[in-house]
Order: sequence, then C-alpha cells, then structure tokens
Amino acid sequence: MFRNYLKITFRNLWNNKSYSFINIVGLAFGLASCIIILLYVNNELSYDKHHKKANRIARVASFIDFSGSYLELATTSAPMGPTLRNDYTEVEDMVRFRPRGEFLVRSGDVNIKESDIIFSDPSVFNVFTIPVIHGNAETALLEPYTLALSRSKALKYFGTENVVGKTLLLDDDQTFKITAVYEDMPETSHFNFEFLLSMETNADEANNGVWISNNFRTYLLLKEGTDLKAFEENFKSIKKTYIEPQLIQFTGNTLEDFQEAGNSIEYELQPLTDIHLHSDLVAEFEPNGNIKYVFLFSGLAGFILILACINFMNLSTARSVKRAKEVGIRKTLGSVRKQLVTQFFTESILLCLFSFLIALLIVELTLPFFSNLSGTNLVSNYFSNTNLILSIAGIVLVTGLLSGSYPAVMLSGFQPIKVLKGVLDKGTSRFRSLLVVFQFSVSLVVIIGLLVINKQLNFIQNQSLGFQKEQTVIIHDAYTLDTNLNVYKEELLKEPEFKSATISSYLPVSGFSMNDQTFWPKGDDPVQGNTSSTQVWRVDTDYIPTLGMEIIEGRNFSEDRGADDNTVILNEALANRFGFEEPLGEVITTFTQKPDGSFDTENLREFTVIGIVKNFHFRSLRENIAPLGLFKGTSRGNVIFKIDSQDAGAALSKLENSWKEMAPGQPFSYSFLDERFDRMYRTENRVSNLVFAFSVLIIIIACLGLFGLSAYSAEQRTKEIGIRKVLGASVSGIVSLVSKDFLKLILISFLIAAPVGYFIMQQWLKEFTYKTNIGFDVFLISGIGIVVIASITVSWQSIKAALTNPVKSLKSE
Amino acid sequence: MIQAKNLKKVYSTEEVETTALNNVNIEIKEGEFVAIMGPSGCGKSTLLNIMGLLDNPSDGEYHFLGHDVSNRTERERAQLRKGNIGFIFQSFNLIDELTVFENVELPLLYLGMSADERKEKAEAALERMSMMHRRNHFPQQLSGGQQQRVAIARAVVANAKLILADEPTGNLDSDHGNEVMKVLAELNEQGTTIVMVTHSPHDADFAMRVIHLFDGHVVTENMQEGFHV
Ligand SMILES: Nc1ncnc2c1ncn2[C@@H]1O[C@H](COP(=O)(O)OP(=O)(O)O)[C@@H](O)[C@H]1O
Ligand SMILES: [Mg+2]
Repeated sequence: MFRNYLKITFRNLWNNKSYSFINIVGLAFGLASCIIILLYVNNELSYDKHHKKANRIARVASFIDFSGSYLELATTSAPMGPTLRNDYTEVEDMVRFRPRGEFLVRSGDVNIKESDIIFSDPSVFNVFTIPVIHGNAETALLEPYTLALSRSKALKYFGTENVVGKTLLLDDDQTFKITAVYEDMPETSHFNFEFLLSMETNADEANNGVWISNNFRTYLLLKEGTDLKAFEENFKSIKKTYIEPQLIQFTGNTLEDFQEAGNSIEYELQPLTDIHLHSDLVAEFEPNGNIKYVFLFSGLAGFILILACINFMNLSTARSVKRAKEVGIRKTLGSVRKQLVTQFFTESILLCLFSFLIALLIVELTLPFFSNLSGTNLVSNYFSNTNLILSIAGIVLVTGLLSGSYPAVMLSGFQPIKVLKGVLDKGTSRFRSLLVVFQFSVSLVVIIGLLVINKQLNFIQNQSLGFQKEQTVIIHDAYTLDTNLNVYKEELLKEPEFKSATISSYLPVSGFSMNDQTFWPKGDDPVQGNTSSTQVWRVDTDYIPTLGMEIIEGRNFSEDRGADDNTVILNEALANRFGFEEPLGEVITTFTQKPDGSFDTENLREFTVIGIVKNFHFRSLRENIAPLGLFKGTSRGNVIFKIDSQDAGAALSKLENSWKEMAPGQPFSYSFLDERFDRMYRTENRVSNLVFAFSVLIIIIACLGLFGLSAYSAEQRTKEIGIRKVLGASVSGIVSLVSKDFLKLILISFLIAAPVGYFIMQQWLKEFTYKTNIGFDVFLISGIGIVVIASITVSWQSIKAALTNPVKSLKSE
Repeated sequence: MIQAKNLKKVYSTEEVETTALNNVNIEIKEGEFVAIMGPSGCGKSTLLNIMGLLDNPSDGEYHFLGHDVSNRTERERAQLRKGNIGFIFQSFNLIDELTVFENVELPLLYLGMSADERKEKAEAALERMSMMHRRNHFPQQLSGGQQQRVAIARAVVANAKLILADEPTGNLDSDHGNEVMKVLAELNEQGTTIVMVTHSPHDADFAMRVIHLFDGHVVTENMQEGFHV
C-alpha cells in the first residue's frame, strides 16, 4: 500500500512539473531560512553554557545614581568580590577581571598590540571552565608578573604550544612569566581573553579597599541551591557596614544623607547565562546579543514556514478537482477515509523531506553569506546539540503535517459519487483567497518594517551630529610618538592633503575615553543638589575646528601658552542644566582628586565659562546628549587629521611613513571617524541586512504561491476564456478579467498590513531618542511595490491564457 | 441477491427537493443480467449507486446478500463493497497516474492481499480482457474501448459477485461498444450477476431482463425473449 502511495506521489510530481517545482522549491526556501535562523538562535542561546558551573555563576552589577547621573554598570568595586566571599557562606568562590586597555606584547622581534588581555584573579580556572593544557591551573596566576595565554596565542608568539616558563615583554617594559596555556575560549562566550595577567601584578588597586569606584567585573560562584534573589537582598547590608564609612570619609555624608539627596547605590546579581542576551550595561566586555532580535528572527522563521506551507496547501487544494477523481475511484474500490488521510499525509511528508534535502543544500551554500550578514560565525553543526536536531526534525514533521492537513481532510471527505460527477470547488476557492490575503499581509508588514529600519538608519547617517565625521582619520596611540608628537602633527600639516589636526584622547564616538566628574555652579552646595555629572574632555585649540564643531556663543581657547587654563567651554546641555541665562563669565566648581583617586573635598577647582559649543552627539543616538565641558589641556591618545584630498590612500601612506620615522618599532594603527560612527549602529545595520534578506525570501515565496494559483486559475478558465475570445473579447480585457480578482486580494492585504506594520514599527522606534517618523512614503512605496510585483506575477499567466488559440482551449474540455 | 422494497431517494438542495426514486421495488437474483433503461434524469444512476452501496436510500429497505444495508455508515458500506461489487463507469474512471496493471491491482490492495497473489489475479483478469500486452501503459495511452476493458478487468479482478455498469458504452463508438457488451455477456455466462444502465436498446438486448424507469418509478419489467450471445 505504501509503495502505491509512493508511486502516485512521484508520478503526480512528475506529471505536474511546474506545480511540483513551485511546491518543493518554495518549501525548500522556507525550510532553509528556518534552519538558518534556528542555527542563529541556537548560537545565541548557547552563550556561556559551556561552563560546567554555569548555573551557579552570577555577575555583580552596580546601579549608581549619583548627582543627577545614573549609571548601570557591569562592574563593581574592588573589595566587593573578596568581601562577599569572606562574609557570606553562600559564596563558594569569586573571580575579578580588570581590563587595562591594550598592551604591546613582545617576544623576540614580534611586537604586536593585543586587546583581549585582562588582569584576573587566580580563581578564574576554578570558577569558569577554561581547560588548561599546559601548566598548573591552581597555581598559575598566584604570583605577580605571571600570565596565562590561549593555545593560539602561544602558537602565534612561539610556534609551539607548551610555552610554560617562557616570558613575554608587555609594553616594552614589564616582563611576564608564562605559567599556563589554556584552550581557546569558544566564540559563544561573552568574554574572549587571549591573555590572563595575574591580579597580583595589579595588587595596589585590587586590594585598595575603595568601595566607591567601580572598575572590577566580579563573578561569584555560589553554593549549590543558593536563591539568587534572596542572597541579593541579604548582602545589601554591606552598604551599611562597608560603604557608609567611606562615604563619610570622602563626602562627609551618611548613607541616609546621601539617599535623601536623591542618590542611590544598588547591586544586582546577573546569572551568567543571562548575560549575553539580557544584559546591556555600561562596560560590557563586548556588545551583547539581544533577546528581542532572537524573538524577532524566530518569529520571521515561523512566518516564512507558514507562508511556504500555505503555498503547499493552496496548490494542493487548487488541484483537488483533479485529485478528487482519484479519491472517488479509490473510495468506490473500497478505500476508507483513514487510508486516504494517510495517503495524503504520506504525500506531503514525502514532499517535505524532499524539500528538506534541498534546503540543507541551500543552507550549506548560503551560510557564509548569512554569517557575514549577522556578524556571527554560523556553522551547520546539526549534531552538536540534541535540541537542535529535535527542533529541525520537528519542523520538518510539522511542516509536512501542516501542509498536508487541508488537502488530506478536505479531499478524503469527498463523497465518491459527487466527486466522480465532477464536483465544483466553491468553498475551497474562498479558503484559498483567505490564505493569499494572509501571505501578502505578512509580506507587507515585513516590507514596511524593512523600510522603516532603513529610514531610521538613513536618518542617523544624515542627522546633524554637531560635528563632521567625514574625511577625518584618527591615528591611535599617539603617545607612543612621545616627544615627537607635536612634530609629527606640525610636519604633516605642511602637506597639502591635511587641512587641520588636533591631539586628543576624546572623540564623539564610542570606543574612546570618557571621563566623568561632578560640577556645580560656584557658590552652590554640592550635597544639596544643583550638581551635574559632566564629561571632562581635555582638548587643544585645534579640536573644535578640526572636528567641525560650532561655537554658538563666546570663543574658542586662545593659542597662548598658559592662557585659558582655568576656563571651560560648555555644551548647550550643561548650560541648560545649570540654568545659565548669560553663561559667559559664569564660574563652575569641582572637587580635586587625591593621588589615591579619592576626592579631596577641601580643595576645589574653579573654571570660568568662555564659550558655548553647539550640542554634539557623543554617544549613540538612542540616548540624549549629556552635559559636557571642553577644557584646555593635553590628552595624548590620538592625533586626528582632517583630510583635504580625494586620495585618502596617499594621505594615509604619508601618515604611516612619517610615523615609522618618528616612532620606530611602534605599530601604526588608524581608523576613520565615520566608520567608527557607523560601528555604533552595527546591530541595527545587521538586523536591517538580515531582515532585508528574509523579506526578499518572503516575497519570493508569496509570489511563487500567487504564480501557481494564477496558473491554476487560468487553466481552470481556459474554456471560459476560449468562449469569450470567440465572442470577441480582447487580450487586455481577458488579462484584466483574470488579474482583477488577485489584485483585489492584494489590496485587502494592504489594508490589514498597514496599521499592523505601523504599530509594530512605532514600538521599535521608541528605542531611539532621535528618530525619524513613519511617513506616508513608507506606505506608498510598500503598497506600490507589492502591487507591481503581484501584477507581474499574475499577468504572466493571464497573458499566456489570453493569447492561447481559443480553438485549442475549447477542444481541451 | 438484491431486494429493494419501497426504495425512496430524495435530494435536497438549498431550494429544491428532487425525488430521484419513488417506491422502487426490485429483486435481482444471482446470475441475472439486468438492464435499466429510461430517459435522462429518471433516477437510473441513483438506483445503481444505492445498489452499489455508494449511497444510502432516504427511505425503504435494501437487502444485499441477505444483509439489511439500508442505513449503514460509509465505513461499513466500504467493507461490504470490497470484493463483492465491481463498478464500470461511462467515463472509465481509471487513475491516470497508475499503469494499467496498477489500476487493476488496486482493489486487491484494499483487500490486503499479498503481492504475489495480487500479481497472479491482476494478470489473470488482464489476460481475460486481452489487455496483458498493455499492462505497463498509462490509461491516457489507450483507446476508449481499451480503457473500458481495463475498467472491467478491475471490476472482476476480486471475483466480484455483482457488477454494476453505468452506461458502459456511452463514450464508445459502436464497434468498441459491442466488444464491451460481449465481454459483459461472457462474464454473465460464467456466473457474475450484472446490472447495467443503458440508453441503447441494442445493448439492452444482451440482458435477460429490462427494467424501465420513468421519473423515479419502475414502469415495466420485461423478460427478454431470448438473448443474443
Ligand atoms: N447529488 C444530487 N443532488 C441533487 N439532485 C440530484 C443529485 N444527483 C441526482 N440528482 C437528481 O436526481 C434525479 C435523478 O438523477 P440520476 O439518477 O442521475 O438520473 P439518470 O442517471 O437517470 O440520468 C435528477 O433529476 C437529478 O437532477
Ligand atoms: Mg446517469
């Protein structure tokens, strides 16, 4: 019996090649996108799960609201970890990480800038699962000036794995002994360190006991069965025992005073496995994923699959008249309904398996492309994870059942005598219309979403930023030029390619220094309120012109050495915050700092306002512009050149050549300001690319379905069309007759999709402080686009039908 | 073999009620060859469908092989049909995607026979209809007469006791039609009961008995004087 089904299935496929093609290919594309998305989701969900104790590890996050600025930090203070471990039985162990930026790492002649390098407590190998392949994990990082490194770095620097006992020179002046080599950390980890430096090397800071500065990422290993929330509540008492004495010491306020003035300090424990998808704090190791996008893409996958199934159902029911005869005969010969249902499900599941094989091929071919688009390294490691196999098997089965359901139930229910007489399918045609409307509504919503995302990205690109990001090159690590720094700048400015240049560590894109300090208008009491957490950027006199910022009141710093040392240029946000009506000449005040980093409340510093700079964006456009002051001073992180030439390559080689002369042996590294800027919107760009790829797919699938249906409809109406032509109908008349019904459905879809799309994208835009509006243009473009695509799809078939010789079509009946 | 008492069949659509059969009483014995005649729309096919257990009567009694089957579910009717009744239609009703052999084999599949047994029986049936040489062709590749012979082979393959034929020659020219009638007559001689609907008096001559229907009623029942072979 089963062989009989197989035979019928294959012969049906073969005899109706175009239908089969549409069905199988449509389904294959649907399944392929589903599998790709599944791989992506699986990848996102697998972050940090490889640590054996993952479910007992939590990170301490700090939420600090101090003098009007609110910070959500992935870091906490140095004593937090050790104190919790000593005072609370719940804590079995803890490990702290402290980044200190990039290091030059030298072994012999190889001297390379490394960024994945961090100070770490020796307990890192106990808390996390980082297999040590050479050396002793328990003692590796106990001593100062010892380090552990990854297998691939060992190979890179020494050409061999076992390098325990060898040394590396950091920043050309600190010698570290290698005590362990560990397996490379997997990509699905929210941190990826290539070098672990012993925390003892950084003992001064690590053991300083200062609770009010937060520079340490701290991970706790909790005892089995610890209730995270309860423990979080429990350890709040450290605020009274440890933090209050320091508050009194540094600011003269008790915890209560501090809180009454509207300030607060809170701590939260983040489960390790939640960090990648749920945490977006200041000072994350790297930009995390976002659970929202996991949902978004899972949803898209579902929709794509449903659309492909709908095609399948539509085409099978459209052909039901023909299959109905078979059903009638089978029933007459004694088949019962159950057998027929089985037959049709067998058929659809077989077809689905067939599509699945093609889908696997599509996945293999397109995976590199999607890896690139999504910025994650996707691999088709189906067997790495039983959940993955199960979900894929489930999807194939559900797709087979879903797409077979309607034909199976409907066809098998036919009354044999009616069917053999040739029953008409009034009811099923209404059902098909409904499915087409659903398909095109979904497609339209996705198109609208895509248009809005692109519009917002364009808006960001063209937003008046308050500075000019074009034609600006940043030379990093300018301080390595040492005494040549100014010479380098001045020499290059003599070249025609460079318009101006400035030396500064501070830049209005992410990835550069930020420096926060509290200011208040002179004469106010800082504890009582009118204070502002303010960015303090030390810049030279060329900074504002080179970056194309605009002074809207007052003046820039003067060139004279020693002048303007106690002056400040405020941004509009800071001037507004202090409520200055005539800001020029106003004086603002701040604490000075003691050598140990704590505030000196006795000695204050004062700055006179000499100018107001137009607000410029220095963080993501998701956020408001924060208060900021430019101070005359030196910060030697970068030299920034404004290029006045079309040939950026030539300009760059000049920069590099001079660099090699003036900073021999130091790596030359640069970036462009506009690229840096775009990097802040990488997630949005990636999402936009992915949504684009999938919406093209959705439209193709929907059109495939429409194409099949219109072909069927034209075929059904060949006799009618023939008669009409004999009676004198024109080709165009017939084309519009056949196309009209479909276009009506598309219009209905539009009416459904427009408000749904509007609502969804309105929600998405809420994330941005600076946002575009969803204009009329979005609906115009999507509406016209879909009508044009659908018309082309439908008219292809109608024209073919209309051009057929009527004698032929009349004979066919 | 068949006893129908006061059979009534009413089709109700949204607006009209059609009484297709009204108080029909018929008895057919094993080994008979009965022709049913009457104008279009008088209820011939309806009667045949009820006799073939494809449909239930609205009223009245219907006994088949001694069972009262007036009101059975589709499932029970399918069970009784299998192996007992063979159908022949005006439009042949072969499955286009199956070959001649596979079409003939189909009833045996539903009877759950083994492959060997199926092969033997289907080939015997095809042999009988002189269609063995076409066993691997698809229906579309055959002439109308050949298709109908295949349909007959399919009807007899399971040794059905009763064959119901609804205008079996309706789509055939007279030569092919005659051929089919001879085959039916032969089957009847070998003991198969045959009930055939026809418009053609010539075809009706092959039958022992002719039942005339008019507007859902049996008008006359004639025994043929002596029939041709
Ligand atoms: N499924 C049906 N629904 C409604 N009326 C039907 C149906 N089948 C047959 N009829 C009506 O019943 C009557 C008898 O039909 P039928 O038995 O097919 O006649 P015949 O085969 O003698 O031409 C006709 O009037 C026909 O219109
Ligand atoms: Mg009839």
